[in-house]
Amino acid sequence: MTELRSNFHYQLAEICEGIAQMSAGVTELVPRATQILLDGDLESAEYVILGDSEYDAKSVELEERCFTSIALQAPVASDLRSLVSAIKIIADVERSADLCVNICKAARRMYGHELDPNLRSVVQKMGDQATVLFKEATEAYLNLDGPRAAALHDMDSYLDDLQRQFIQVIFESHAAGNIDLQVAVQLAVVARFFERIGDHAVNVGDRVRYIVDGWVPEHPYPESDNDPPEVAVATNS
Amino acid sequence: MMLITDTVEPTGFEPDDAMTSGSYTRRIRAAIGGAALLVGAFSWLPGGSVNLARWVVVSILAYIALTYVVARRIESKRQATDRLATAVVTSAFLVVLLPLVSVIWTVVERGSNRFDSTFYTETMRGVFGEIEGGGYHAVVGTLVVTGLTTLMSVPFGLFAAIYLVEYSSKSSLFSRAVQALVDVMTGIPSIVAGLFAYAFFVFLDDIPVLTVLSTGVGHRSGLAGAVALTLLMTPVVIRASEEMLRLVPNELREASYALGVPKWKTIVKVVLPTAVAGILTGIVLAVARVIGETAPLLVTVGLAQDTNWNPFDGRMTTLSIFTYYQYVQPGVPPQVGQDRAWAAALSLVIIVGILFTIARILSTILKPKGLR
Amino acid sequence: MTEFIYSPASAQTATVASGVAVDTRNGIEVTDLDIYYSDFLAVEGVSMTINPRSITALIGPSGCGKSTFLRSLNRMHEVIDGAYVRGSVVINGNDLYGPGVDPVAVRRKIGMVFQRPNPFPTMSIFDNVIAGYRLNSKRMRRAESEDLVEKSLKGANLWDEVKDRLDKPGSGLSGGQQQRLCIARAIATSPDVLLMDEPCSALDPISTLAIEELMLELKNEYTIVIVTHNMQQAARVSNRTGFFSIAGTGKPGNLIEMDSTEKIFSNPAQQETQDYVTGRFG
Repeated sequence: MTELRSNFHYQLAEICEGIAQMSAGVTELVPRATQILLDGDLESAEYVILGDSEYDAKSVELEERCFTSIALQAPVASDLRSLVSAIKIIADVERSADLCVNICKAARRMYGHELDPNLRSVVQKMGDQATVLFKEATEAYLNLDGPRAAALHDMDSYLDDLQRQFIQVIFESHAAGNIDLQVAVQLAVVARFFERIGDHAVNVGDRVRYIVDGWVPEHPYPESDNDPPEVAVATNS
Repeated sequence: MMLITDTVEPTGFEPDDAMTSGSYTRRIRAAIGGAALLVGAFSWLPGGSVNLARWVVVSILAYIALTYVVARRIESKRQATDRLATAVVTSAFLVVLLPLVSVIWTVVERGSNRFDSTFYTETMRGVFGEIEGGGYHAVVGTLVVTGLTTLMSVPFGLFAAIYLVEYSSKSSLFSRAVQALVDVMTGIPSIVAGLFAYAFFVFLDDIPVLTVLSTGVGHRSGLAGAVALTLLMTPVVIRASEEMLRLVPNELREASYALGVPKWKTIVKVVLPTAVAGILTGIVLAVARVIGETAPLLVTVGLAQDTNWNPFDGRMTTLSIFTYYQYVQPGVPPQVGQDRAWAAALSLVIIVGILFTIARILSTILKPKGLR
Repeated sequence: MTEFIYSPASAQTATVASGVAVDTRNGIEVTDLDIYYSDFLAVEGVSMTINPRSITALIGPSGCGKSTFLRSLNRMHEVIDGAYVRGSVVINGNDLYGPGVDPVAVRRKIGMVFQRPNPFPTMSIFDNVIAGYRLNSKRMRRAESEDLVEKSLKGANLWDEVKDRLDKPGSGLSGGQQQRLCIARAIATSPDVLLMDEPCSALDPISTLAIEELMLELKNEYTIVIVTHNMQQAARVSNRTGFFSIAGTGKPGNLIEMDSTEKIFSNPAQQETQDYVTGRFG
C-alpha cells in the first residue's frame, strides 16, 4: 500500500531534524563556552555572542512550522504529542544556547583575572558534564529512546553536586584572596548557568518520554538546593 | 525530457482544433429545408402527378445531405457530423409520426359522419337496410367487459408484483420461475387467450356444481370475454407495477422499518403511495392494450344486436367486434354499415384518449410532491 | 410473538465505587455478539458497554462491520434475509435477542437516523414527524399531535425554520434540514436510544456542525451511538470511542479498542488504533 499522509510525515521529519540540529549545535556550544571561560578568549566570546541570533531565528522558524502542521494537519495521538513536545523542546534548546552566551558574557567580564587550578578543574568538570547531558538528550530525542532519556535525571544530580562543590571552591578561593569579589560573583552565576543547562537537558528528556508513551511526571522534581538557606524569622507569638 | 527551444514552429491552422467557427443560424436551416422540399418536388414534377410519398422521401434525404454539406462549410467537421446525426434522428421521428397522424386523421374524418347522438343512443335491434341504427350497445359492452377485466386483473397483477418485489428473494427458483412465466404471458397471442377462456367455460359447464357460473347458450358471455382479456392484461399490470415498485428507494422502506412499522404496513402506507402514480399509469396502459382486442372476444363474447348489461348471461357486443362485423357484413347499402364501423372505431380512439387523460391527471395529483 | 415489554423506565441505579448512585437507565450492554449473514460471519465477538446519556462513536475503515454492528442494536440487520446473531444485547435488563422477542417492537423503542436523509415524500413535514405513530395506526388527538410535532421539531432545532410550513412536503427542505427532520421523526417516538449511521456524510460542513450541536444537546436525554468515517467528528462530539477493524477481506470485523475519546485520540493502547487515527493505516 502506498504511504498515507506522506506530506505530513515529511513535515514532521523536517521539524525533528531541525530540532536535532539545534540541539547538536548546543552540544558543541557548551564545551566551547567552557573553553572560552577558562582561556579568557575574548574574540571567540564575541563570535559566540553574535552567533546566538542564528539560534533565535531557527527556533522561531521551527515553532512556526509546528504551528502550521497543527493547524493544517489535525494531528492526533503520537503525532500530536510529537508536535506539542517539539514546541517545548525548541524552547529548552534555545534557552540553553542563551545560557552559553551568558557564560561567554561572564568570561568577558572576568577578562584578565587568573583562575587557580582548583577552580579550573571544577569548571572543566561542570562543562563536561553539561555537555554529556545535552549530548545524551539529543541522542534520546533522535532515537526516541525512553530509557536513555530517563537516565538523564541521575546525570543531572551529579551536575547539581558539582555545582555545590563549585560554590564551595569559590568561597575558599575568595577567602584565600585568589580572586576578588567581582570574579567570585561572576563565577557563582556561571555555576548557575551550567546547572540550568543540565536542567533543560532533563526537560528535553522528559518530553521525549512523553512522545514515546505519553508519560507525564507524577510529582515535579524537587528544586535544586542551591537556593540561599532559609533564615529563621523571628515570629511574634 | 523535452528540450525547450527558443522558437516554436508555427503550425498550420487546423479547422477542427479552432475554438470558434461560423454560425449555423435558423435562417440557414430554414433555407436548407426549403431547398430540400424543392429538390423533392423535382422527383415528381416531371411526371406531372403529385406523388406525396416520393416527395417526402426525397425531401428528407435531400435535407440530410444538404445539412451535412452546408455545416461542413460553415462550421467544423465535428459540428457537421453532429448536425447530420440530429437531422437523421429527427427525420426518423417524422417518418414514424406520419402513419400515426395519418391514422388518426382518417378515423376522425370518416368516423365523424356518424358522430351524432343517434349513434350513441340507438342499438342495432331491428336495424337493416337504410335505417341508421347506432352503437350504444357496443359502447356498453366495451365498458362492461373492460371494467370487469380491470376488476379482475388489477388485484391479481398488483399483488403478484408486490410479492415479486417485496417478499421474494431475487435469486430463489420460485421467483425466477414466476418472472419467466410472466414474460411468456406477455407474448400470448390474443386468440389463444380467447380459446382458453371459451374452453374453460365449457369445462365449467360440465361440472354440475358449478352450473351457477353457467353462462347461457353457446357459452358466450361477457364474463368469458373478461377472463380472456384478463389473461392478456395481467402480465402487463404485473410488469408495470413491478417496475414502479422497484423504483421506490429502499431508504424509504428502511426508514419505515426503523420506526417499528411492520412490513405489510410499510408496503401499504409508504411504498404503494409513493409508487401509485406510476402504477396507475401502468394500469391505464394495460387497459388501453386490451380495450381494442377483437379476436378473443369474437370467440367468447360474440355478437349481439341489443344492449346487454349482464356479463354473466348471454352474448354482448363490444366496439371492436361491432366494428368488425359492421365492416365485414355491412348489409345493403354498404355505406351505412361502413359509416357505423368508422364511428365505432372513432369511439374506441376517443375512449382511449379519455383514459390516458384521466391517467395523466391522476398521476399528477397523486405523485408525491417531493419527487416531482 | 410475545409483546416486547421494557422494564419500567424508572430510575435504575447502580452504585459506583465512590458510593454515589448513578442512573444507568438506557445503557446498552453487548456481550459476545457474533453477527452472521447466512453463513458468513460479518462481525465477531464484540463486547462493549454503552453508557447512558452520552455519545459513543464507532470508527474504523470501510467494511469493518461497524454499520452492521450498529444495525444489530435495533435488529435492523434482520431486514436482510438470512441474517442472525449469537450473543446478547441488553437494554434496561431486556435482552433484545431473547426468545420470543419481536424485532418490530424492538425498533419502536430504538430510533435510527440514516446516512442519506429519507423523509417520506408522500407526507407533509407535520406527518413526517409523527410518522412513527401514524404508520402504526396509533390514534392521537389533534392537539396532542400538534404538541408532539412542536416538541420534536424544537428538539431537533428545526422548529423555527419550518413552523410556518408544516403542511408542505418534507422533501422541499435542504439536505441539512431534511436530516434534522429525520432526527425529529426519530425522537418523536421517545426512544431510549438513538442510533445514527454516518448522519452527516451526505451534508455540507455547516449542516454537519449544526447536527453535531444538536447531538450534544440531545445527549442529555438520549443514549446516542454514532457510526462515522470522520474522525474529527468522533473526536469532537463523542464521550467514548470504539475502533473496529478487519483482518482482511472475507474475514470478520472485530472491536479492537474501546475507551474514552480523549484516550483514543491522545494515547491509544493498541498500535492498530494508533495507526488508524494518525492515518498511517494501510
